[in-house]
Amino acid sequence: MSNAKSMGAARPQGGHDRADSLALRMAKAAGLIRQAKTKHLNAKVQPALFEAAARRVGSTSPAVVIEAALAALATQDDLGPWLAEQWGVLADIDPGLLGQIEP
Amino acid sequence: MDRLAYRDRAALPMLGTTRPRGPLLLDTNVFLNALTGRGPRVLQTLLANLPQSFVSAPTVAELSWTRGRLDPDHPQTAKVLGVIDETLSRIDPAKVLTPSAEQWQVAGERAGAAVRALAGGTRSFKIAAERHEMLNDALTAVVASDAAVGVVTQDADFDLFMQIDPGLNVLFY
Repeated sequence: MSNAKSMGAARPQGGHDRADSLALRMAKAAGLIRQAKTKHLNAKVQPALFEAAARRVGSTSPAVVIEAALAALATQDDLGPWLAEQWGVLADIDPGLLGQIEP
Repeated sequence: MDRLAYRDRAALPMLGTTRPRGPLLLDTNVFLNALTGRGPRVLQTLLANLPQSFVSAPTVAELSWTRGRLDPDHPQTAKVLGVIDETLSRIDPAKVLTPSAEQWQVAGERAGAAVRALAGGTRSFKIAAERHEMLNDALTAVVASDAAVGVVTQDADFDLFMQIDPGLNVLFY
């Protein structure tokens, strides 16, 4: 087996390029960007908003920026907000029982 | 690399003073501290505003541990299991980072290095559970780093993994 991922390696082989959008990779894995690009969008947005998004994506191409933004939206989940809502739901549990589940 | 050791907590990237960069992975202690209400409010605020949450496969295993471990005769077991089952069902399977064989190898080496640095000092690591916990933490650190996802945790062992892998992004609370 390769030693490329040994301790201290700056970036293991097989790791993803950090410039690559995780949302896009997830959208690709979910089959959301498999189809041909046939949906046409025509929208006016605030220049500052577009430029801020373009800096994040690393491209000024409207198609690239919009695709990245849509991928980020499409791959959102509600786990974090749900956990925040459940805050303390097990607060009244016997500490002895909780002690059995904490790693 | 300098000898591994826990650094002063003030030198670590802390939730509340360090701005999250990019997507985040929730360590097991985040779930337990949220559900028991023992975490700091800054963690609750982060969770409430988190659009994406990644989880490592070891965390899924640690949460699932309850189903086999809890005393079935305890009057509160059913409630705990109900909450844990609901929590597991809320995790998007596409956001579970599962280690490859190569990542297991890397994690094993890093966990061993962390234990070697600490053994005989503040901790003994004489029981298997401690070694397993360190290995699970190392696995979480490796899959998060490779996916370019930051880890949210209260576990100081991630400080060691940050020193081993400068590419690992961690937010402590």
